[in-house]
Amino acid sequence: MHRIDIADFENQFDFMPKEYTISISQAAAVCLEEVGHSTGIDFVLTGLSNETCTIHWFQINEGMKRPWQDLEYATEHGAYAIAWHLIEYITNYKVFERSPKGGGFDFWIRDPDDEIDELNFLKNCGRMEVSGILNNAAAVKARVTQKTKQVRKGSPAETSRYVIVVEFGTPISHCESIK
Amino acid sequence: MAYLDKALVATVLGDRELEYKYNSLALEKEKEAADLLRDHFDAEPTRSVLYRSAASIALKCDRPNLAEKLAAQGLSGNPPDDVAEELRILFENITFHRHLKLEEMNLTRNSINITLFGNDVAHGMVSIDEYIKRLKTLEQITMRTAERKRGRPYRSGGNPPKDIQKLLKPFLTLQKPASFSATIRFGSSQMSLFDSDDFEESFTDDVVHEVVETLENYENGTTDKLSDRIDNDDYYINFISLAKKLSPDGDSITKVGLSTLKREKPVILEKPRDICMVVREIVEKKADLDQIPNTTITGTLLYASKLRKKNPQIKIKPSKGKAEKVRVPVGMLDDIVRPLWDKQVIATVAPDKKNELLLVDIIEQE
Repeated sequence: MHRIDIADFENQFDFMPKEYTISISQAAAVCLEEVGHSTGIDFVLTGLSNETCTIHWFQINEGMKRPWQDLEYATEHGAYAIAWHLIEYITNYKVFERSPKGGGFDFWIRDPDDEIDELNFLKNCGRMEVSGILNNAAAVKARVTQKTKQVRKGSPAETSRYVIVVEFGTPISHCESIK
Repeated sequence: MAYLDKALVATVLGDRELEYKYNSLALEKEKEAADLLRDHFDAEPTRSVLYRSAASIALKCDRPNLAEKLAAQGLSGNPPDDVAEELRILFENITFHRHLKLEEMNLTRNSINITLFGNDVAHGMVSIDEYIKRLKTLEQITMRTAERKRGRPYRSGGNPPKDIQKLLKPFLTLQKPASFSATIRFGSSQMSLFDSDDFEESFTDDVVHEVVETLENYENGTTDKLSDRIDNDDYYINFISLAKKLSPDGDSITKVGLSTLKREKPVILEKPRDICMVVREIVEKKADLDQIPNTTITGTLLYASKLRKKNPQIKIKPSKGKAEKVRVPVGMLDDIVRPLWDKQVIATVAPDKKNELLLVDIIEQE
């Protein structure tokens, strides 16, 4: 059974700055505890991968909770951390760079085996949109549909495009590849 | 991007100075990176994405002129269609930010300028419903703020007290042709030199300032600061319900900008927010809420009973099935629920401690 260990995220995402990764990892842990879970709980994957994993996280202290009092904000960023891990696990793509706001998707992703063109470093990159829901499993399907529409509108069909929705209440995550 | 992420961490920690510093550093680096590709028109999508990113950060740093130049550079190459569209939208965003600037406005201390941006806003045109709704909501927030600051008990119905109405009578001034920016002045339509009451003017200025500050707290999610300002539950629920109504829906209106003379930086409402859990927590005093999810009822809002003053009720009649009785928080009844009588609504409800249904949010069904 696949094990998602949030404590390991710090060293997992080569292209992203550590401080930010640590911060959003804490957001993910805060969200999981906010909805009443304890570490080691089952985490369901649907869509491109249909399986049950386990998810583990570190002990949270008051200092970690303080920046994440706004739960909507915490949910959005906590979902990023989980999605970054899942896109690697499910597709082998790695999160590469954030997309500027308004771009129709959140992150550029790349195949780590592809050589990076120094000038045109976004060439051949895929795109990933991430959405977080704190505690409402019934909303996942609608959110996937909404985000799929958004990504389709905002990016060319010939690129690799993914939507990942993370819901912390169950917890469950749906990963969809958009054709 | 590393500086941008540091800026984001600073945002989370609420350190505005550090946020600005890192955004400025990010702008410098992003512009540098983009300019390396200035003449490399085949380096797409990287060239146009970098210019788009630099333009976007320039806007965050409140440099619309630079943002405009960078966006133009991005469009001058061979951007892919999706990035080109983003750059065009960015131009409209830059125009929106320009409209928030005060230099060309004839603002007085007791005025709030409101600027709308979104799919329903074009040059010189805006959806009447969206515009009027937001003007009325801003007026309601201002009246309620004035009553709260005057120490009045929360008014569950009827018009604002006559003294408040007189002090804060709203007047609309249209500004800036070909945009959707308007100014509401609260108080006298003329600033008379001879019979103005300094105390009254000072109170009006305070109210106007408080309105925009509380909306900033709402937008930033700084609920502790908001609770410090509004320590009465009915006023609090009323405020967040009206703030939600004022905020963008994310489609027809994507940004609502508010400027006043006293503030250097305008407040921009950008996030459609979900207030349901906040309302539940206040009404139910945080008891056993997490286990019970919200549900929605769609139907006609039939009547509201204000006979039960402390626990007003409404009935919602779905097209099939019996009408549901729903308890309404006092802070929502007059300003949020009453305008929807006899209309088709989508109500978000949750069972309360007594297993009655409690209203946590309601909107008109489109």
